[in-house]
Amino acid sequence: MNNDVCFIIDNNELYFEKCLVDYDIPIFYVCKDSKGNRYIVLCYDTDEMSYLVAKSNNSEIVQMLEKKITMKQIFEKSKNIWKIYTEDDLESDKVEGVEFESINSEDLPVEKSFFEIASKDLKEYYDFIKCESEGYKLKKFIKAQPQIIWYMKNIQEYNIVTDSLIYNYSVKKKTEKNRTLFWSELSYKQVQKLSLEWENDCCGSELSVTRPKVTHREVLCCE
Amino acid sequence: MNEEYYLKFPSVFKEKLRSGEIQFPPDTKVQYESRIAYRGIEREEADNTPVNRSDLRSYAELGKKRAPRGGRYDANSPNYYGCSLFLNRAMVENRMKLPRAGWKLANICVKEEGGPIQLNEDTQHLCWWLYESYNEFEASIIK
Repeated sequence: MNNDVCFIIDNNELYFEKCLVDYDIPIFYVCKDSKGNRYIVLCYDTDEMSYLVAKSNNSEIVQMLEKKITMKQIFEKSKNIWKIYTEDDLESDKVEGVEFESINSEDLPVEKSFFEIASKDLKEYYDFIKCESEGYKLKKFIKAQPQIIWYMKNIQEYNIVTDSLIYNYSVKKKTEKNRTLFWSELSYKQVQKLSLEWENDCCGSELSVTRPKVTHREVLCCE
Repeated sequence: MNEEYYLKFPSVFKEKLRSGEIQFPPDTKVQYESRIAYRGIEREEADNTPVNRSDLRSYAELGKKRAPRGGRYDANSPNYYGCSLFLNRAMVENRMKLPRAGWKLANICVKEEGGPIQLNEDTQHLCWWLYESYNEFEASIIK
């Protein structure tokens, strides 16, 4: 989690997670608290640095990124919205709980406006949030996944068994002897045979089937 | 970059550069090929004033004292002294869907004669540190 605390609401610190609209300064972005709750933040007054903060969730953020709901509707759906009038330090901010209906329409996103994913960076964030919303608990895009790996040394071919369906991700794993395996954009469907490349092949000519190995690997979510 | 070079920038920025308080990021490009980027500019419906230097003022130049929240933006960040443009117009259009935009979309040719840049292809964001006297924009207002 980014350590940059943006706001404190009822003693709950909100950390900056991802900027969706950056225009000289961050205008529209996502924050997260220590419990994993996500918040949509909108700087509606860039002169006074006043913000609307709406408690949201992965599913709604995904819906907005998929243009199933508008940028305004993500606020409308929220049960907890605050207006924050910032001061020079976080503790002095004026935090005011508000109802959606009471918010001046000029302070909200334009009616019927959909967010456009227009960069690789935002696409990656969408993938990340979507993974989480579908139940993959990825931490900073990376999480250890238990997998059973049968492997044969030095023939660059692996059978991998996963206990769940995980789509398209790349894996980077440091193995013993400081070798690193790289592969990317693989579709895992319970059992897959994969071709791998050793970064540094130092296995010599040894060719043997080793015992099944249960390992935890870091899984990097990607396209 | 030397002190003489720093003098080209707006006073609010050059003093920070000269004192060493602020430094350009390591990936700053001083020499680069010109390219088109997009920015929203404040214009009333009937106002077709050509793009000019005041359309590309940084938050620091605008004299906004209160630090924004989010990310690493503050008065100690070099980006606070630069102007945001985007290689992809949809990124600017997203901004125009948010409150108090009241803007028109402009495409602007970013040239090294105007000042150094930092470009992030992943975010499509281009930060342009404009020289104070540069005002020869090759630009058009597209909507």
